Amino acid sequence: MKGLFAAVLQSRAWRFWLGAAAVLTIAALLQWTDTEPAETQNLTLFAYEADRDPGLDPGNSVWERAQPVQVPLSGQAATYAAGGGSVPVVSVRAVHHKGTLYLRLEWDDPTADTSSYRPEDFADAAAVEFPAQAATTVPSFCMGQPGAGVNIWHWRADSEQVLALPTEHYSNAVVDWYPSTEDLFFTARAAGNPYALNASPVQNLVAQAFGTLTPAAEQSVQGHGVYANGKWQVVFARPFSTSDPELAAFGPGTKTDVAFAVWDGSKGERDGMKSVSQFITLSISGAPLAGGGPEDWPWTVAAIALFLGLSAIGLALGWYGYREARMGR
Amino acid sequence: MTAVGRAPRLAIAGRTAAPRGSELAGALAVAALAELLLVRVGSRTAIHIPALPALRKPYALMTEAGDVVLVLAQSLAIVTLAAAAAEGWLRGDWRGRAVMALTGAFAVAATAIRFGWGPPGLWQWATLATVASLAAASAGGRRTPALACFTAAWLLIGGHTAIQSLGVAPGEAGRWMLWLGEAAALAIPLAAAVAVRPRGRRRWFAAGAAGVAATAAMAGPSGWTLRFLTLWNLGLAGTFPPFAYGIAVATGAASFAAAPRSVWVPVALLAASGLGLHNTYQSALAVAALATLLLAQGRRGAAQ
Repeated sequence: MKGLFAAVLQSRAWRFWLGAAAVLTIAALLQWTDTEPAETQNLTLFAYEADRDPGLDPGNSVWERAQPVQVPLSGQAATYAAGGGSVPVVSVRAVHHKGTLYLRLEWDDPTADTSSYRPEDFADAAAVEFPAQAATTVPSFCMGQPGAGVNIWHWRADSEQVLALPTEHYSNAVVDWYPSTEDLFFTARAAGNPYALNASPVQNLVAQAFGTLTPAAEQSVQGHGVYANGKWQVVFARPFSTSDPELAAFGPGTKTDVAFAVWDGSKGERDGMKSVSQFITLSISGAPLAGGGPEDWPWTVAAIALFLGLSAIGLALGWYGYREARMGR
Repeated sequence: MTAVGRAPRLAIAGRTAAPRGSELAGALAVAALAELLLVRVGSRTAIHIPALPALRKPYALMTEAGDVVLVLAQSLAIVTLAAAAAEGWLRGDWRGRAVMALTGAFAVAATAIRFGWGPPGLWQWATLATVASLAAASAGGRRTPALACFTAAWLLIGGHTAIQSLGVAPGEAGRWMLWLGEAAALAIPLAAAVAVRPRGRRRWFAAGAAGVAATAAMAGPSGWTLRFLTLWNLGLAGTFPPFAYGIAVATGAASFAAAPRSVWVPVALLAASGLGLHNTYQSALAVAALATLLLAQGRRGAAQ
């Protein structure tokens, strides 16, 4: 068989026709079966099923059992207002419980910027981005693209604070008493502005390119942020199910893409001035969250053994080739 | 290896030492570079052009062409790897056996990742080791420093991803891994220039002009877009000053022009694959490049 195979491959014409036939057959099969042969090898964030509700408390002990993923960030520079990049990395954990996905973001920030009351103040913030379930392809992580929108969860530190009185910031300010409390006199609230309604510190947004960001019809994302020891920890939570095709869809056994953004208010970061990541993979597993500790040690050992074994073979081959080259000289 | 009683094949002076599957690798390089331009650069950046509504038809054509080229490149990658493994099996020398075993190992890893067998981290490490082993086996002579830089860059940038699959938070060390990986990547063209020693004033003048243009582009308003593209396609975050990329482009261009044509295809495939772990298609391009390089090296050795 080896001889026949060698004879066939010896002929240039045979090689051409065999190669062309193989390539076209595989390409046709991939097209007809709508199969994507390649798979991502990027960072994967696993969300396992927690045995109890982590709630919105970033300090809940459930989070200690979830494996973190360190996601590199860089300054947003694809469009104006460009800038950011002051936060180099964000650590992310994910779990799910009774049909709700929970994400916890953690990053270093020397100052807690929780007010945007004065024009020169900007609040710390964080955002999570997913492809919309209606997206026909993986959208651009830069706010999506036409036909492939994105769903963004945006948390701001100032949205969890009680609105300060003007006199707290401007001692000489005088505020008239304002008797009306009806929505008619609070125009943003009357218009349904979710930030004015303040139902949640997290806004659920959709976009299909730069400049198209708009609140989603369904404001179902909850969240809570805590600042301690020079770190922000922010939890996002949303039920898996949604009927809105513009929003992300989740479920046990599914994978989706997810990207992150962080703003440092004290550095003047707001709007497009932010630290952003590329998409990584979020894998929502139906398996239970491990009880803590390295339960996956057999796989870890196998990965290290495989790496060391193959690397040893590579080094041996390199040494053999080096010696051969020296002897041939 | 020559069978007993059979006349040894005579080496023909000046004949190409390319392996039998080099036509496939060449076609894969063309398809991969077309995919890089149409899909990873063209369609990803064109969506942000303000005048896109007026250019909807050309954009649609570009994305359609990109989809076709991507399917073709993926099919070519599968066949090229199979052909490289087959040639390694037929050759039977140590290089052939190494190519057969390592492309086989990569095929197992890529299939396992695709079908979700075992944790992805296991196969990420297998991919890293396969690429590193093929690069080590391809080393020898003056190409060794360039391949050492390539291997270091691959292991550092890919290792930053793979180490987290073991539950290790790389922390500050992770930032150093990415920085050193990028430094090793920028050293590849310098090491290549030392290896091939490009000569000729005109060649260096053209390469220098390319370097100055690259420096100006990285330092100018489009620099951030270029950094995005290098991050997406090469795995490099663009953290060094613009002149570092200019020097890399200049020495890379001069070295590429001066290098023997037998390494053009592997270099083109490595450029399209990028550094580190992105997806199994891009990893396949790196494996195909190094397998082609190793097989070509073996044939040249046999011919000599």
